[in-house]
Formats: sequence, structure tokens, C-alpha cells
Amino acid sequence: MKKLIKDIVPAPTRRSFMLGMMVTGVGVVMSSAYSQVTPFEPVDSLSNHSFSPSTEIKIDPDGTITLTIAKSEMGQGIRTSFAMILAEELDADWTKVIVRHARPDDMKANEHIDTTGGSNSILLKYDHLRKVGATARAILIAAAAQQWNISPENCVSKNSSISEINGTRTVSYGELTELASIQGIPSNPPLKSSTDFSIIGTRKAHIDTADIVSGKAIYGLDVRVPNMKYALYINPPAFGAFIVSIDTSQALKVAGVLKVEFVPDLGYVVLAENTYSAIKGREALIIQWNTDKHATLDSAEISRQLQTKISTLPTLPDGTFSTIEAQYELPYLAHATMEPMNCLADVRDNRAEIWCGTQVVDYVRSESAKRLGMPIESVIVNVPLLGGGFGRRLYIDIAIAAVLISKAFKMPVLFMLTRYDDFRIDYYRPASYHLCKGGLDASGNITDIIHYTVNGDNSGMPPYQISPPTTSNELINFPLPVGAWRSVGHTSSIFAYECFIDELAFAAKKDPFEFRRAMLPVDSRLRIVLEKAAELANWNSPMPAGRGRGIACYSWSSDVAHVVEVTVSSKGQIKVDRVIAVIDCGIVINPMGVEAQMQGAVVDALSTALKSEITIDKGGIVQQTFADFGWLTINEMPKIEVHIMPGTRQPLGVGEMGFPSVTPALCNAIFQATGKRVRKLPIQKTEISSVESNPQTDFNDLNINVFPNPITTFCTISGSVQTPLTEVSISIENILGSTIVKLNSPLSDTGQFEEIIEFPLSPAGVYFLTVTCGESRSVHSIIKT
Amino acid sequence: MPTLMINGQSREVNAPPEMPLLWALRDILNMTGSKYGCGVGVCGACSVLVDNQAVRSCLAPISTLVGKNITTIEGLSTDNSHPLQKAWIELDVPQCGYCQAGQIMNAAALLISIPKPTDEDIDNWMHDDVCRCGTYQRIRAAIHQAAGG
Ligand code: FES
Ligand code: FES
Repeated sequence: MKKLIKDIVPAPTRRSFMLGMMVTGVGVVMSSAYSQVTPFEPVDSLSNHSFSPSTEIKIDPDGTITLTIAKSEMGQGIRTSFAMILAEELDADWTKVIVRHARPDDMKANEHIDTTGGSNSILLKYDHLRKVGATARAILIAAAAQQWNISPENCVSKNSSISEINGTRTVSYGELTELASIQGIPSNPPLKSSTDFSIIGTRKAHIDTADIVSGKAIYGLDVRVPNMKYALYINPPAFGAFIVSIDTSQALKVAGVLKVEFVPDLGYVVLAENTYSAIKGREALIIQWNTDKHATLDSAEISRQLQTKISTLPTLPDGTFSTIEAQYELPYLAHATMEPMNCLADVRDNRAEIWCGTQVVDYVRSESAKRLGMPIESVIVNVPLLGGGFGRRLYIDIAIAAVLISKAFKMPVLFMLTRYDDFRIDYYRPASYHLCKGGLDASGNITDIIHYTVNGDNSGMPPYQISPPTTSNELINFPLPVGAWRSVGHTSSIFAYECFIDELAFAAKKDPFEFRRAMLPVDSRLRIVLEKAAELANWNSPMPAGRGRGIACYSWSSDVAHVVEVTVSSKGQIKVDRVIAVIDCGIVINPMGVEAQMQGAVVDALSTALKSEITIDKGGIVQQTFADFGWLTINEMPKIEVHIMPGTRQPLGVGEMGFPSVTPALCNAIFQATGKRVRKLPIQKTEISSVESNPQTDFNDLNINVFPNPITTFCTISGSVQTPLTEVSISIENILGSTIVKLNSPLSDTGQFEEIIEFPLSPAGVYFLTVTCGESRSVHSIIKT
Repeated sequence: MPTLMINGQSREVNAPPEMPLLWALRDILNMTGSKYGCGVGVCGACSVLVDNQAVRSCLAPISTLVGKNITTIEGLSTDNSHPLQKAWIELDVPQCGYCQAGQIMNAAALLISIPKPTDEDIDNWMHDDVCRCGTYQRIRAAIHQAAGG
């Protein structure tokens, strides 16, 4: 799973520090010595009688069970899932469980706080957590047995208490804490059989939900310490820009502004009594920038370079029956975490304390210590909740900036990015270009696939039983830093590959579901998952004109398939009606959490497929808010149906697995509805939907009926349109784009038309009907049997 | 120094009158339940009720709020007993949770104005409240549940 992250994290190119240019913490050697506590999470008063056999578990005499989780929570539900696994093996009463974030000083000499990322937390920790829970339970049973002077085999645990088998005596965990603390630690405690699970596999709300809905939950931006100040960074308007002159006099007159100063290794910073003063102070600065360095760089130029980097693809072997080629392009994306990036640092002479919603706690600590020239033990890192991560908080640029600012001003400082800054200072999902070429034999089987990319990825493909694709990845360095973004390279590779597989299926005149299914190993989990998705979608049921259904699948850790249903209006407006998401993620810890992640991933994927992009103009980022970045809102939501397969494998990853196959399933559905392939994202910028955004064009709805459909030899095409024009034109093309019917049909006074069209000699397959009237156009697929 | 009525309590706010309520709440009064998401009115994370109407606190200068009743997420109930809070917990709406105070406050204004909203009412009312984590399906279900059906 590390690969997901490492794939596109750029090698460090420079040692000097720049925001948005830090190297990821993944793979950094973790330190293990810690100290200190979080001020907003007071030290537990350690009762002499509490029982704590491990870092993770503490049981108090009143029965409260405190579980300490060394993972950052950013909405993926990890605190809840980890607690469920521990509580299961502990046989804990779930209502008595409290969860807290691990503090560095909790960790023992051989323990550390792992990176949270790569959807691998449960995958890697399931066995460990079970053992920790089972060990504590075995000790409690030994304590009860000792108290009753019976054999441990005669004791049974349930719901935070132990009872005597064949007896009436019962004792609660809380009552056993003292006796449990003096028992030996068993080396191989028995684990529960999965059939005895009573917590794992049940629907549990996130343990933070109650605090979130009451406004009590503390995120990084919410941490308050005495005498803290607020800082904003003076953001260059373009990559490579530098300040020619700066006039701070007006800014310093703004009420609440304390300083505007150059912070070494960082840049100019406004320091103020509150965020509003910092914003106003920054607005009052008069700065002359030199933006010459990348003045001519814009999205069109980037696209041109991506598209022209590879001139030709290898030729396919002689004898290939048909050759299909397609190119796909994806834009840059920002992480756009709902909580903008921030960090509070309080650097003193010989110690520093940091509050940071980070996915790399240890790396923030070690790198801060290095920058400050302090021993690592002198740096404390506290981790509040993360208002979204998506990979952005794997990078420590903001934490280091906060440390440098606090050091320079000798005050506790909350350094934050405004939303505007947050779009500008990021490690973007790279824009990429994909060139695909595929060969089919005479029976429509894939003989070869070539998948070359520029700044893309071609890993993570479904395990189709075909000869391995020929791949190559070219790299062009643009000034935008790139990094891990949910599902990482697979947001691009699976989009291109699963769209291309669909194109091959059509060229082979095969059903896209059956085509995939036939290539997947019999009895493979992915094949079963794909079949389930098709079954739930009622795959073979006909769709009305203007609607389409697409399918795609993905296998990385878990096995996933999606079916998307869309309606495309005659104006090219795309409405996603329904998404079916099927996942096999092995043993399910919390179905409620898996369902949430799958739903969220669908929104993520649809937003980025339909609307979102980061564009460049004059060397700078164009987008400023969610409004121009583009994000799905509630009124655009399809119905999402998540189906979780009963799994018996070890629990697998979920957070990133629900994304990649949504995008191609959507594009494949649009093809079914319109006969047009989407090969460039976001879709709302493409030809299919471009008519919608053209306010000049006054479209009249074309209502088209095709009957029957599927057809055998002839069909009736009829419809109506409100127009002053007197005729519509009708054309039918086969899948290779050759026109087989073309005619004009007169309109009646009421705008009706009807034509009976015969094409008995044409082969069976899919045909595309286009009816055009003036600038209105409507495309439908016709199936000939 | 403006005095505001927040969650039923009169609070003196030591801030310039043009300061938007969001920053007065968060940085002056240390009430951090209302969140900053964009500062320009396009995300809804900062929403509060002013005289039972949803208001984006990042755009509302405190001087315009004197004499009005302001309700923030902290004041919706003292014990998570508001029907929306109950439904939110039961259906486990939040993922990262950062947008949720704003979502709940907007939904609260919706239920005051339309006690039994249809899907279309919800679309019309909530369509400019961004959830980056994509919890919309559960938000919709929780609003219906809180509305009693
Ligand atoms: S912060 Fe007020 S609308 Fe976004
Ligand atoms: S729950 Fe994360 S932004 Fe809505």
C-alpha cells in the first residue's frame, strides 16, 4: 500500500524551504522517545487501581475503558474501527468505551505513531489490536479465577464482566483492576472466533460524532492557548514570483495588526491579534511582484506539452484484426480539505509545542526539532481532529512554517491558510495525459494493450487475464508541486484504462460487463463483485433514450465495482441518477463506516469527473473558492447504493478504494447515453456538455422516440421540436463512425416528424442515431439484434 | 464595543464593529463551533441563526447584529437533544465533521421555515453548503428523520 503514496511523490529537489515544496513524511525513520501532553486533553489522573496492560488499554475501577489510538482521524473513522477491534477481543461494554488520540509520551520505547495514509491502517494493525485486546481479557479472566480460586477455564467474559461457568458469581472489569494489575502477561492469549464477534461487523457511529454535532470537537484551527497570535503568509500570485517592493505602512495601521515581517527561510508574514485583522492587514499591503519567471505558463500550454511529449506508440504485431487508439487527459486537482491547512506552534528557547492536524505526527516532530536545533524530546506534537486529509496532511510544509514563524516572533502563533491560499499552496494531483492503443483478434479478444502516460500512472489495473499491457511513464516537470491525493495515481490510471477497456468492448461488439467478466479469473473476488454490481443494476434491462448505464471495476487491497446511470439531456446536460457501489473488503469492522467511505468516494469521484479542476493562468493558480473549483452539492446527488460483500479475508483497505472505478463507469454511461466518448476531464468542460454553458444558443428541446429498440430490420423514429425551422436531419452511424443512413425529415405545423427506417443489411450491434434541428442535437443508441 | 445576544446570553465583544461575526465568535469569544471554510459566503461552514434565519457569519459584520438573537451550534441545545442533532448521531452523518455545524444550522433554519421539507425543498435550501467529504446522502436522510418522517 505504500506504493500508492510513493508513486508520484516527487524526489526532493532542493534543501531550502518553500511552502508547498516539502517532502512527504512517508518512509521517514520514526523516533520513539516522547514527552508531554496536550493541554486540551488533560492528563488522566492515574488511579492506583486502574489496569493498563498496554499503551492502548486502560480500565478504571468505575468500569470506564479508555482506548488510546495512534492514528489521525480525518473522517475515515479509524478511531472508531480501532476501538471496535480492541473492544471486541476485550469483550468490553461498548457504552463504557472512551477513545483518545495517542500522545507521544504514551508510546513505549519500541512503539511509534505510524503515518496515517495509504488506506492500510486496519490492514496492518488488525492482528496486533486483536492480540492486545485478547491479552487484556486473558489477564482479567486470570484475575477473576484467582479471586474465586477456580481455573480460568471455568470463567467466561462478556460485556465488561466475567462470570463463572456453571456458577452464579459475576465480577465486573472495574472491580478486577487491582488484581489484574499483578497478573503475569500471557504470551499467546486465545483470539475469538469470528462467529463470536459481537462488536466487529456491527453498525457503530463514529465515536466523535456527538462532539461534532454539538460544536465541541476540536480541529487544528480551534486550538486556543493563552496569548496566541494569528499569522498569514504573503502568497506569491504565481509560481516563481518574488517581491520587488513592499509597502507595509497601511497594513500596520490596520487595527490588530502587530507586525509585517520577513521570516527567514519562509517569506513575508502578517502577524495579528486575530484572523480578521491578519486578513485586513494583508489586503492593505502594497506589493510589487515580479512574475516573469512563468509568465507564459497556462493550462493550455501545460496541456500542449503533455499531449506532444510522446509522438508515436509502438505498432501492434502483424495480423492484429483491429486496432483501437484513444487519448485521455486529466487536470490538476487541489486537496481542498474543508478545514484549510493550519498549525499552531509555540516555540520557546529550549522547547517547542505544536498542535497540528497531521497524518505524519512523528515526521512533524523530528523535522521541527531539526529546524529548531533542539533534541527531539524537547518538541511536543499534539494532534487534534483533521478537517479532511485526502493526502494533503502527509506534507509538513505548514507545520514547519508555523514553527519558523513562532520562532521568529517568539510567541505562540496559529498559522493558517485562507481558502484562497489553500488553493495556491498544495501538492496537486498532477495533470496527466494517457495514450492507449489496443489490438483485437477476429473474435474480439484483446491481443495487446499499450498504455503510455505523461505525468500519469498506469498501475493498479484489474487483473484481466490478458497479456500484460506495455507501459511507459514520461515525466514533465512543471512548477506546480505534485503529491498524494486520495487514491493517488489510480485516479488517472483507472479512468484511462477502464474507459479504454470499454472502447475495446464496443469495438469487439461485446457487452462491456460481459467483456470484463470473461477476462477475470473464474471465482476471483473481483469477478464476483463485478457480477454483483451488474445484478444490482439489473444490467440487461433496457434504458430509455437519453439514458445510459456504465460499468467499471478496480482491485487494490479490496475489490470494487461500480455501475453508474446517467441521463443526458438534448442540451448535453448530464445528470447522474444512480450509482451502485459494491466492495469486498474482507472482514468488515464497521459497515456504517465502510458505507460512509464508499459514499464519500463517489462524491469525490463525481465532483472531480464532472466539475473540479485547478487551472493555471500567467503562471498562477486560477481557483479561489469551492465555487470556481467546483464541487458536487446536495441537489446534484445521485442515489448511491452501497453493497458490502460478506468477506472472510483479513480486513482490507477502504478509504481510497471506492474512488477509481466511479469515474470510468460514469464516462462509460455517458457513452451509452450519447454515443460520445468522454476522454478529457472535467466533463463539464467537454463537448458533450459545452452547449449547456453557451448562453447565446437558444435551444429547443428535441423529443425523440425510437420504436422498437432493440430492432430487427426497421424502426420508427418520431419526435417533436419547438422551432421555426421546417425540417430535422436524421443520421445513423455505426460504431466505427460510418454513416449508414442520412436524410431530412419535414416537420408538421405542430413540430412533429416521423420516419420509418430500414437497415436490414447492416450487422447486429450498436448504432448511433443523431437528430439535428438547427443547433439542437439529440443522440441515441439503437441496438440491432 | 458591541454587545451581542448569543445563545441567550448577552456578550460584550471587544472587536471593531465591521468584524464579521465568525471571527468575533472564534477569535474573540473562543466559541470555535462555527467553522471557517471560505470566508466569502460560498461554503456554508460558518452558518448560524440570526432571529431564526440562516446567516453566513463570515459575511455578517457584528455591528449589524446588535439587538438580534444569534444561535450558534453551541446553543442549538445543551445536550444534543435537538432533533437534528439526534438524527445526525443516529445516522452517523459526519465524516471529518468540519462542515457539519454549518450543515446543521442551515438545516435548523430550513425546519423552522418548512417543518416537513420534501427532497426538492432540501435541494433548494442546502444546495450551497459544501461537504468536501460527501456526506450529502446522510444529510438528506437525517433532515427527513428530524422532521419526523
Ligand atoms: S466560511 Fe462562511 S460561507 Fe464559507
Ligand atoms: S464531513 Fe468533512 S467536510 Fe463535511
